[in-house]
Amino acid sequence: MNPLDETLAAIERVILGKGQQVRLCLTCLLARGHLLIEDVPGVGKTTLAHCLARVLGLEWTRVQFTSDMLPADIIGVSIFDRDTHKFQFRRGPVFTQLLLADEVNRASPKAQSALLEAMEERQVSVDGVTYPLPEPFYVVATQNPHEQVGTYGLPESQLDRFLMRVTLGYPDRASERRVLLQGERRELLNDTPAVLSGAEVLNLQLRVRLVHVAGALLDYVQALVARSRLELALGLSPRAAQGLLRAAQAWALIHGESAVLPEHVQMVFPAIAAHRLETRQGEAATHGSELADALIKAVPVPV
Amino acid sequence: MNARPLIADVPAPLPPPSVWLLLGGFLGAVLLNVHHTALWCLPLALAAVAWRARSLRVAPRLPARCLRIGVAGLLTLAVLVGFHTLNGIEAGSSLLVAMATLKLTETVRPRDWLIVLGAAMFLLLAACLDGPALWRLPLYMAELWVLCGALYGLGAGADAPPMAALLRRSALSLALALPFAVLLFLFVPRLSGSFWAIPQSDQAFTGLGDEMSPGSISQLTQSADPALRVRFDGPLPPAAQRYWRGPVLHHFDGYTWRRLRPDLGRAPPLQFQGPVYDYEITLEPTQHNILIALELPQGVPDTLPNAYPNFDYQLIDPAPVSRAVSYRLQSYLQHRTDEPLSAAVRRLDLQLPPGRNPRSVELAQSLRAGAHGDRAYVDAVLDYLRSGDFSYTREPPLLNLDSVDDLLFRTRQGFCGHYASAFVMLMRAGGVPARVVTGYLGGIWNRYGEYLYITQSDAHAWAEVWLDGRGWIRIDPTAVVAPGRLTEELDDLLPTAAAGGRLLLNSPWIVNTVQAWQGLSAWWQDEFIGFNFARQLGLLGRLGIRNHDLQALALLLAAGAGIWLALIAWGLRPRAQPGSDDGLSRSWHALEKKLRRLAPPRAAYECPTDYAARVGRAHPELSATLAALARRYARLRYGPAPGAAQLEQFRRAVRLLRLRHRPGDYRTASGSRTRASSSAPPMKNTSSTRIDRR
Repeated sequence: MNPLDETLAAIERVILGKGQQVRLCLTCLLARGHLLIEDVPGVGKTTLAHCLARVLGLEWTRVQFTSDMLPADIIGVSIFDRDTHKFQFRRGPVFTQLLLADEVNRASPKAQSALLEAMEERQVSVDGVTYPLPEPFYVVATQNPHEQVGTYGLPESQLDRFLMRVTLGYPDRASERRVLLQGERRELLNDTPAVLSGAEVLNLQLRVRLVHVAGALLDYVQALVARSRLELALGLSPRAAQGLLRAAQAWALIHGESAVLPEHVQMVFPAIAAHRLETRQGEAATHGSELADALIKAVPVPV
Repeated sequence: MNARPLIADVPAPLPPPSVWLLLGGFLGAVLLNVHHTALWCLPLALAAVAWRARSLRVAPRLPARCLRIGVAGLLTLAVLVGFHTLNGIEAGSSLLVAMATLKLTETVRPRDWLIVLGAAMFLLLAACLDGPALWRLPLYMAELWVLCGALYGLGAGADAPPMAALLRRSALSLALALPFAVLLFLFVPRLSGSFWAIPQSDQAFTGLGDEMSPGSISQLTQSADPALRVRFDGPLPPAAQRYWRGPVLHHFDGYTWRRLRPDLGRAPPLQFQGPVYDYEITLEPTQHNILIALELPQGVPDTLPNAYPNFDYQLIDPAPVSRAVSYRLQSYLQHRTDEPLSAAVRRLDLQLPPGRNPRSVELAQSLRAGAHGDRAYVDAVLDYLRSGDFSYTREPPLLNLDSVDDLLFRTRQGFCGHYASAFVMLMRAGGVPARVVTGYLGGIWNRYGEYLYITQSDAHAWAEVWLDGRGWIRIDPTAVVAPGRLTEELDDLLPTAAAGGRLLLNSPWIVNTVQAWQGLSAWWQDEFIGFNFARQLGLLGRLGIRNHDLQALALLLAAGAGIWLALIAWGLRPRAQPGSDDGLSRSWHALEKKLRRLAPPRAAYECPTDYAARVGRAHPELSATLAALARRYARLRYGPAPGAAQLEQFRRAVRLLRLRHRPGDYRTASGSRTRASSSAPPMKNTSSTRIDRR
């Protein structure tokens, strides 16, 4: 069995009835992107993130974000060593392959911003010294939607750094019944084997880049991005466009294709675009997924 | 997709290229009208444009409403004071410039700009009406080009493309409009009548006038302005006989000859002799109502039916010649009449101011005493002029009030006007009816346009004397004084200071160029500006439309316009999308066409595999075949460049796809059975990864 299919199967044993979202999450990580899982409490966000870390065989740390959290709680802190009379940097939880940032929107903007450099540069600077983060490095964050009490919405700059935002939604009837029957999902996690390893994930990332991209497909991606800039107040950034292409490549790889097809772009587009789009009237991005669907329907596929 | 708000509270400012084009177009329109608008118009427009251009960088502070109203009132008053009217092309253009300039100072919205642009277009029209010369044509075209570009910029609003793109589009549009212009020019009926006429202006006369005071002129300016052009049907008259007859001057006060306009009835009928010359004259605007003709014409021109011959054989048209006119005439160089001169005319042409030029009167009496008969007297006076050491000059000294005395006995030099004046005065003093005739002499043959070109510098004055039993005889005293005046280049009589320039002007290259340009201008004047209803009917006749009426014109116009519009529409037809013109796309479209009746057509955003899946759901028996075809197509299109063999394979697969039973239309027959043909080639079974929609 293909290791990718195996990975998917392993995750879907824990996360029931969410095949599409699971694929998107895997796509995101293969495309070397950070993942934001957003939904109301109790639908399995943390479980999914946890599961991903385990199955991919990555070294992972979990940080529960709280409102009194400081940047040092994430990055680490320099401590004066009496014996050597020098400052010594004690690495924080960010020095891991997969950082599970739980309830990321509960932290103050100050703490959130500490994640910024780490996410984009994949390195951390403390007291003028730069420490590289391990490879691969992912941030998988979960958050509750903004309307929840006691949360700070992520700033646009940080939202743009998440390649995808995946919404889980409530399980369907059959899946929910199985959940009820099987009991606590977290116990299942402990039995879940690591299908891949850090090295294999890096290898897969490289293979993603080799998936063929035709000129016609680049035309299509550019048309989508251009249309978003034309129609909306906040369109898609070049980083988003880059991510869209990489994610489509990863999606193609997961589905055993050697070339990216427009349908692959269409599949990953809502997850990539929804949290970045903003309408001109200044409405919040709550309709982001509708905007993304409308954009897809507005741009002809080159045939 | 949410629609963009179309109307914002604060209009988005126009991008600089559009503003520059608008300002440039407006300024150009003002410049084109600068020759007939009030003097203050150009500085005013320049100031407003500069202020507006500055507002590209600095947010403009628009002047207060009451200030604008006040200035508008003042400017209207200025026009009224300057022209004594608000009507007419000069006053109207000035007023338009003033108001458009004011509009510029309150322009905020695109609508305001549109008004400024409209005013500029109207000014362009005014300039065209008043300045139809050929050399202005490129200026008009350029102005129109800029204005249309500005219109494009205005239409595009805040998203206007750069200036080069605007101008390119404008040029294309104008090029497309050109055939329309030609059609309208040729076939819109040229209604003649005062309704269309431009209001008369009261500008000063140029060239020949109603009076002549040779003594007051110390320098005859060499004006190269065209006076008339003549096209002959047959041979030309001899060079020395090309006298173009203009205003005839009768009244002399000792210093000035005046035309006066007494109505003295009909001229005595003439017996014409010698060869007849058929010709067509194109007369530049003169602002008086005398039509120039070669010597004595027979009849009146057909194109000016209201013209009539005066008692002194001048052709008079009731309307002053305010625009270039063309008319055909027949002339004879020799004529005689046996009828006696009417008493009134004899009195008029024997008139002399009493007590003026006494020495000349004395001279006349002494010459008259020695001559037998009028003819001998004429010869005697001519002899006197010939032998009296008189010389021709274009820069004569000024004469005192007894101008003929001063000329004959003191200065002894002058030009045609001086000698004509002196000769006629001597004739009258000797009892021979005589008059001064002004007009033109000679002309330059333009071999490009094949016409005789006569400029204002060819202006000439000569005399006509009455001999009983013979009629009026033309006598040119200047020819006696300076025989070269008739045949040689006059320029040689100029002072030597201009010799260098003359040399240059006489170089064959310059002469040829100037002649070619004049020929072109004449062609423009004749064929375009002078394209009237008669010519239009002539053209239609040549096109085979004998039944000249407005209906035929309208039909031709509609047909031509329709054909051209159809051509443009054909050029604008929706084209296939770029990149879809290869064989692969054609094959795919052929497949879509085959499936057209099975399911609703593929939406533009629908991927081929999704479309195939949709059709497959409606027709399960086709599902596998279609899915495989679509997958194959997607791989060919989006995979690495396919080989020709693969493309051909796909094409054949599509061609061989047979829907065995002709399926009903999905819109009407829901349960029609269709079956994929077994002749479709077997598809390589691909990994059937399903793609789920979220």
